Amino acid sequence: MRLILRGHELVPDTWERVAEPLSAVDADALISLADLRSAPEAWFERSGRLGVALEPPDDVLQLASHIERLSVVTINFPGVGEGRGYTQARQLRARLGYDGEVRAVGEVRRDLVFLMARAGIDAFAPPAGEPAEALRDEFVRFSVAYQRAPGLLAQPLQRGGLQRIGS
Amino acid sequence: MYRYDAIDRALVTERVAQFRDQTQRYLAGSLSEDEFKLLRLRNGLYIQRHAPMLRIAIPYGLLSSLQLRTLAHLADRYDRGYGHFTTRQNLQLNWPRLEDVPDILAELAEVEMHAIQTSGNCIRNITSDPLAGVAADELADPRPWCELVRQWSTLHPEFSYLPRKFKIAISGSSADRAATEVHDIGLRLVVDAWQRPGFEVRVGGGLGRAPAIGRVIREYLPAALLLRYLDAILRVYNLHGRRDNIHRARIKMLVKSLGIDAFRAQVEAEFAALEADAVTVPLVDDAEVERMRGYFPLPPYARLAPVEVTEGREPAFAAWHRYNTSGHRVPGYRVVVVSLKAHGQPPGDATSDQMRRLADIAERYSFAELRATHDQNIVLADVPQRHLHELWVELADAELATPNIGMLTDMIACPGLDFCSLANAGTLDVARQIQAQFDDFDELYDLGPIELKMSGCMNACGHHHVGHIGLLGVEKHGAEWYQITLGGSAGRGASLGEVIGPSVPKAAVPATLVRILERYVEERSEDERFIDTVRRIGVEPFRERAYAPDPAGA
Repeated sequence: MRLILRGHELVPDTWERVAEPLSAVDADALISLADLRSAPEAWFERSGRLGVALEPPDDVLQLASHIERLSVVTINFPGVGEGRGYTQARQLRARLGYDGEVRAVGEVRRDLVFLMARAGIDAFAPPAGEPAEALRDEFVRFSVAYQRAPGLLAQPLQRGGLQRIGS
Repeated sequence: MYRYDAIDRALVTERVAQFRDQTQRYLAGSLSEDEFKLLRLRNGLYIQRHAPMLRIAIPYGLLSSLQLRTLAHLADRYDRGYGHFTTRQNLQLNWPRLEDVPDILAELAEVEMHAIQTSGNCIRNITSDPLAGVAADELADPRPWCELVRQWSTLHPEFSYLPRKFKIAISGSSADRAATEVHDIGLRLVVDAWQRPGFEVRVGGGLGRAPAIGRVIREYLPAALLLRYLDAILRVYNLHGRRDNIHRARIKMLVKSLGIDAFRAQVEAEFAALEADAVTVPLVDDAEVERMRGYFPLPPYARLAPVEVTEGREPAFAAWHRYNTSGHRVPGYRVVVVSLKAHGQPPGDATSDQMRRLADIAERYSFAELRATHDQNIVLADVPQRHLHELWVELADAELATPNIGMLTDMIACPGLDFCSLANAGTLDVARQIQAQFDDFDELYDLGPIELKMSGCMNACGHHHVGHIGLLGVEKHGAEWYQITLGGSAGRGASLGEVIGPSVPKAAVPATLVRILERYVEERSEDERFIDTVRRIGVEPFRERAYAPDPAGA
């Protein structure tokens, strides 16, 4: 099974894309935002955990009434210049107060990880050829920052004396 | 000027280390072209026609003598001994080797400089009024705000991968010497009825293929709310700006397609929601404003009486004094514009030798600071009148005293086809031809203030849309042709120029300008400036004359 980086740990990825609430009812199921909104109770009735796989145009705020019951939200970065995922992560953390797993999928390149982590992403599913260990080194790429941000994995010293969290 | 503390120093140093690592991985083959492109642009590095081009940030145009000396040294050590000042108050080196760029950035970091976010789809250099702090019409010095916005925008976790580039300009005066109305966000300092400071906020201005004047989104935004409001604008843009077509990706396109009212509603809704967020942009409190203002104190002006300086001096000095200097708020001082528009030289270029001499001059005469302007000159903001003559002698010796500021040959020109792989046509040889055509300074002065702006392609880095006379290089049948616009302006109440007719071949540009200006001289009433005549009579008379068949024998 593929390993992903969750925080500082390499863990197996147990989540699978599911299209029907009645299939794989015990599994960790990742579904689209549209599928969740169309039949939320059917999805939450399952015994397995539920997560939503966001695409860049998805409006995160539409998760507001379900967010507390989600175990993971994945954010897709289909191309390296795709910037909407950073806002999606930020909104999940700062607007919706979500503290479950927020996982980056797609073009999860090491050079992008620091800002992803600052934006609030705390799990990373790198593409083949991008070793997960290298991603971990990026959490401390910068020891300082100018802005407040919701990320916990990357918490550089910010002007104004906010807390620094050790790695 | 702003001085780095431990946080700023760590940021630039760590950025250099990051880019050094990325460059090494790229050269070793473990980063693809596309992956590296994303990263190098965010450190100002373009791959250009002949060589990489490095765009070094000069935040809101402000430079110390030490920094300018360093730029001179870098131009000598890593480049061909000169640099180019740009329309966004940055400096470009045209010939560095890719392998040397990490070392260049390391040397820049030593003097509190960098090339962060001078390119790429992110927030670019915050630009401002080159007369900040000394202009008589200034409401308040915009530079403390420029620095606050600069820091807020640097390595922003959410806004580093926008749909497209993002340019912010800030002006602190009632005139607008920062072209704020043609920026993605333009901020103009204002006060309310109780004299409380705030900003008029415009969005969606910009040049390029589809030029637009920015729309007012807030007539009055209390100053403390600035960063939070910017956050709201950028969030709406980041989420909804188009990413499918780079020609439709600027914020001006989003504002246009939604309409300003719907766009405003989205921003205001996001702004209102920010207050309750678990992590949000703090308001800018008075202590923070004061702290920032502390970095831009008034220089230690001497108590000087105003003096007469031109009497009995050379006519050349009198001309320079008249056109290249202007009044200062403080008695006994004068603002000096160093002309980087010598006839025969590419507009905006300075050799490393000139840079070094300017650094020395600034130290001796202007508190060791200089300002790069968005029309590609340099300002010495605080020169005692009694030193003006000796200053002029030194500038003249360094070929920095061409007395043409505000005149036709004080033109803006992008580097064009000679340097830029985006260009369709040359600009530098056209500039040279125009300089040669109008080499008679009496004639130049008689024509009066004219802003000529030239771009080598539709990306409009030469700001041709907002030139009183605009020239746009186009490629037609494999040759270089030039489209002429009239009536643009970049200041308060900005306007976009109107195309006067079909483009003209390169060799015909100077003669066409001559004809247009002859018509102006015929039509103007008394001291009417060129732009005012154009506005009064329209472009038709100029179109007629520009394209009139040659008189027999001419």
